[in-house]
Amino acid sequence: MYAVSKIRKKFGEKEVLKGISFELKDSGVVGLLGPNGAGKTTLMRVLVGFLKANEGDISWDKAKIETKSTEYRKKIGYLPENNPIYPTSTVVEYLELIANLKGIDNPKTEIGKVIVDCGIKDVIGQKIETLSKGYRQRVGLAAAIMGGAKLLILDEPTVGLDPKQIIEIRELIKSLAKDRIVLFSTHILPEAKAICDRLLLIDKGKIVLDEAPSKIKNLEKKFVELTS
Amino acid sequence: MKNIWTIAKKEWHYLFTNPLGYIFAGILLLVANWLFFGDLFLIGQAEMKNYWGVMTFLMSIFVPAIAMGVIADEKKSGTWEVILTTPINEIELIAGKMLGVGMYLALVVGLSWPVAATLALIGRPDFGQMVGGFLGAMLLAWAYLALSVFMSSLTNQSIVAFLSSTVILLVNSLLGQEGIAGKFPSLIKNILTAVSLNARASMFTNGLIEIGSLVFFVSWILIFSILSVLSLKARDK
Repeated sequence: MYAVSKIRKKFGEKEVLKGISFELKDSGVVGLLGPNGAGKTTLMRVLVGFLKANEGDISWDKAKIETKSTEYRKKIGYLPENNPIYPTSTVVEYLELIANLKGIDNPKTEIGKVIVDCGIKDVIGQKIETLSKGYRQRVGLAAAIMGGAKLLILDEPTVGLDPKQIIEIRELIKSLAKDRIVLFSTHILPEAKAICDRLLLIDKGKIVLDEAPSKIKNLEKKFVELTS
Repeated sequence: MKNIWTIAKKEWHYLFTNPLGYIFAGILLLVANWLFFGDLFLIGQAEMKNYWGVMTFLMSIFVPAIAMGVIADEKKSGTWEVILTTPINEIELIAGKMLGVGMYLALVVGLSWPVAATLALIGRPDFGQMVGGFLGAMLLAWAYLALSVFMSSLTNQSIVAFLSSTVILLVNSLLGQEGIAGKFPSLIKNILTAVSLNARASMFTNGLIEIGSLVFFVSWILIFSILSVLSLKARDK
């Protein structure tokens, strides 16, 4: 069980996260929804340790976590918005870099595994700048799951993809969530409904809805009601 | 240490799989050799002092150009967000960047050896002075690098990092020159000369390896590296 408790984050005087709390089970897809500026990206950055919360705790199996610790970072995978990766590297060079930084003992075996899991075997020797956006997302996901990440945090992973690529990435996300938690943000409500086991709606730095999509009759209406 | 080496290798690899690394090294060495050998036989002295003079001036433009994107490009593209959420900290990231680009600069300075070899063939150069010159040029390149990395860490626009680093280095160089520093009262003149990287490096090119200057260069590199780390950490504010 992964638990986030009363997370607050301020930038100067502006409080962006106002006491966020939720718990996540060990597997499944959890959608993080919210209008622009609601605090989704900031929350994700706090959860992955890129930013430090001003207040609040994160715990895993009841053990309190320091998000900057090596141990924690080895257990998480992160795909930021727009999937930033080095364009002049080849796919395999990029994966080797991430494998080395994650301190993976047998990088070649691990790279072989994620290449298969993410379906990028055909492009491993190609430079990232030559890949389609769909393949770039797959490379970003492969890097994120490397080392057997138990928590995968994806910031708008389907933005900018064509419909076929969106379907492929959704399927990939679902398959990755079989043995890990996937927390992903999106603006696309039908997408959230289609692949998420649970939805967290965030507005003005607070969780305003925490529900399974099957229990929400009209998500669009609910979204407008709770965020207006 | 492993993380530092991983980042250093990435930077080194980038400079050699990218035309930028070859173009800058090629232009720097070509211009420095051309200007040096053009006057060598007129001067008639088998010493590298003038070569280092040209080299150090060119490096005040060349090093910021090589280092301008070291952090700024990572910030602009967002890759620093990926890197800094793996088990690496800001100190390791900056140290790795400094080491990778620093090795490249050491190689470029080291590629001046044909000049030394030519002088040894045609005359009787002072080898102590030559060794001092290589050491001074390397320390100067690394000091320029530390400042340039810091300026790169302050922005996500590499051109801003380049211009600000170049201006600071040129002003530092100019104010340390006898002709300019000499116009100020003696106290200010002494301060300007003491903090001038070029004035410090010229002691080495004259063959004088002074502990005080060594400490100065090491301190400069450390201070700007620490400032770069603090700048990366300031993203939380």
